[in-house]
Amino acid sequence: MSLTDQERTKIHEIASRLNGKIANAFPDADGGSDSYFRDRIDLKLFERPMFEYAFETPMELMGELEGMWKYQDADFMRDFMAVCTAAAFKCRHAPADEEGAKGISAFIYEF
Amino acid sequence: MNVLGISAYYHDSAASLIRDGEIVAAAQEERFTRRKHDHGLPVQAINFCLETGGLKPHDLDAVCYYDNPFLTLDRWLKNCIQEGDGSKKLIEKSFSSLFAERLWVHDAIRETLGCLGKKGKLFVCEHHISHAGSAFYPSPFSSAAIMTVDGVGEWATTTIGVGNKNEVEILRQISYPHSLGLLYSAMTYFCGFKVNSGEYKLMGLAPYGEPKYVDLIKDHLIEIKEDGSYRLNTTYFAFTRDTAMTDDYFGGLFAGRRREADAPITRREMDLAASVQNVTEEVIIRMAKTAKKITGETKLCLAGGVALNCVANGKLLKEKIFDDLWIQPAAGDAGGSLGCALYFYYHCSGKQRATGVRDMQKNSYLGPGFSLNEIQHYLDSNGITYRLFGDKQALAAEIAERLADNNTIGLFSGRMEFGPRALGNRSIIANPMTGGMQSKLNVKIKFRESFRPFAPTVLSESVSRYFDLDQESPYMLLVAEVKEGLRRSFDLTELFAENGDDMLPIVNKERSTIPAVTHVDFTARVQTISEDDNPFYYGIIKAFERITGCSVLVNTSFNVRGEPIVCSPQQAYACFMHTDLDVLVLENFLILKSDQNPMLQGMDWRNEYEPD
Repeated sequence: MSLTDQERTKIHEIASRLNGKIANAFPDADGGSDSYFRDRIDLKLFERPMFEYAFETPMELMGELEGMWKYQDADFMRDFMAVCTAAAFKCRHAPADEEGAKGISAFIYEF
Repeated sequence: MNVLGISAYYHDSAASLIRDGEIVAAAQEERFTRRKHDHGLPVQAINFCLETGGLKPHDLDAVCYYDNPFLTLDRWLKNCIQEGDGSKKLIEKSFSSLFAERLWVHDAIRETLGCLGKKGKLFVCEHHISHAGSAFYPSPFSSAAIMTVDGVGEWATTTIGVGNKNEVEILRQISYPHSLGLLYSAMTYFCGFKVNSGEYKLMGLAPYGEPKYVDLIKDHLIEIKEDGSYRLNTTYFAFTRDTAMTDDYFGGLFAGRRREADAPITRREMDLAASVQNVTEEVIIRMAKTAKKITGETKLCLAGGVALNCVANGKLLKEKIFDDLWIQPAAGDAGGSLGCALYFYYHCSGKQRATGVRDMQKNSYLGPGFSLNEIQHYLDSNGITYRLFGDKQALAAEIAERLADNNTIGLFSGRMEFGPRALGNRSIIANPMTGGMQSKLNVKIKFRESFRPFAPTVLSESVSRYFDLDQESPYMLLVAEVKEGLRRSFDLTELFAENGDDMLPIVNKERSTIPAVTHVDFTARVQTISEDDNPFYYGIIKAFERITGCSVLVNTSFNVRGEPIVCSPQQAYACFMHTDLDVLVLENFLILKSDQNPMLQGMDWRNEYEPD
């Protein structure tokens, strides 16, 4: 039993629910034109290329996530706000997972 | 203004320090921890940077991180939505690294440093802006088009942008899961090599094969538009939902399962390597044409892991789409530490940027160096027999004599290189004219696959005598063909018919007058060296030229398979003693294997490091 089992389950539940509602969650899913390049201005993923990263409290983290998803016009992502905040603060100061402790995962594209 | 840049939590963690726009220090964490591609917080690399700059953490004007954790979280959550009920593995795979590491990067850095510099805040920079910054700001260009191509940043996998004076801007983007880097990595994985280190092997394997799977790849895996933009058919890839890059569906396309890491390499892997390399080159060249069209610039800067594909870089150069090309030598994530610091200094702080004939990368000799006193103290306290040369020219002449006698030499001199390539300061060097040298170096010294090619270092003024290249390539990031007059003809198909899949007789077949650095397709990954770049290394090759008439040496990184390149004299000596190297040079000290205590030579290092 892990400290964050509940959050893992919740993220899975929300993702599964939204999967039925959102046709495609990826930003450049629409094809068919002459190019798959997207203008950065149209993509609207994050407002600033560089910024002060300084949240310390759950409210501040929620504010940052809310700001990002508002900028993206992605209201549906608000469902993740509370669970992600809880997960982050539960994991604060948690030791790195086993893979991290060994230095590198066998599957290092751990995205 | 002192700015510290940090990359961590993906792979190849690193730290860089810039002062008033000048790069003071930069190093990858793996060199200190001895864990290849170390992804942890680069504590030792940070300490090295601060020490080199004579700084305490509170002296720093800014601390920057090369990736935006909020946007990475956003991508991961949307990936989970996309997979829906099937997202369980994805959640298990990345939950901890996201919520315990990346989101708390400011906590971890503050804990390491004790503070976050004068401002007390961490500045985070988008991953591909960091790459773009690393490509443009150290370049000698006042304005240029910029292309960044890697596996994935937060969302971006491929970008086209522009740099002008002190500003960098991304104009176009392709986003995850569509990724040329991940396509290459997926093929690397399918061919039985490790993701993020085996890509070099795949590139080296490609010339042995025929690109017979190109149509299959283009019909099923990637759709490429005229402008070089592309989409992957994600049905065939497992990385969006699993801990693997490919699954049986991918294998179904290529008549079989993924090659096991220790299984023999067959023609299928060679042909797959040739095919994905061919596709990669096509995309890069088309994209470069688009970058030129969009930006109107005449020069191009490149970064991102795919920019380490020197074969594609060489083809790009040959196409002459741009008048000039500059590639960040630490093009992978390590270089992101440099890019975010430079972006903060120039773009965000509005500082003026001067450019000249030379770039600002200082030949990438940005890592730790060791004084004669430090080295002598180490040698004396360990009872190591050596000869001390007061005159470096005399030492260069001695080294050249030994190279001409086919000795293999570990060369440790000056500051360690930043980036994956050894450029003469942490290198193993050898005579390129000797038949069988490639397999000797691979099998007896590097303990790696016999097919892997070695790179030449050539005197700048002689490059066009040996290679179809008429410009400098100081960072070993361009592949060029060996001059036709130096080649020895052979028929690869015939050799395969004679030897089956056994590559050793093919590797040992002399392909030119410099066979140890001539790949089976007569290409070479060239490093040029001038006296200004590195007087000692230049002096060695010059002395070698006087003895043999040849202005070229074999240059490979000073390490064994799976080991990070040596950083300290202790590591250099250990590597020397556990391999078949004949000579070690530690600055002014010449150390001969024949003079060493044989008791120290006993341990077999083949299993010391996990294969890469």
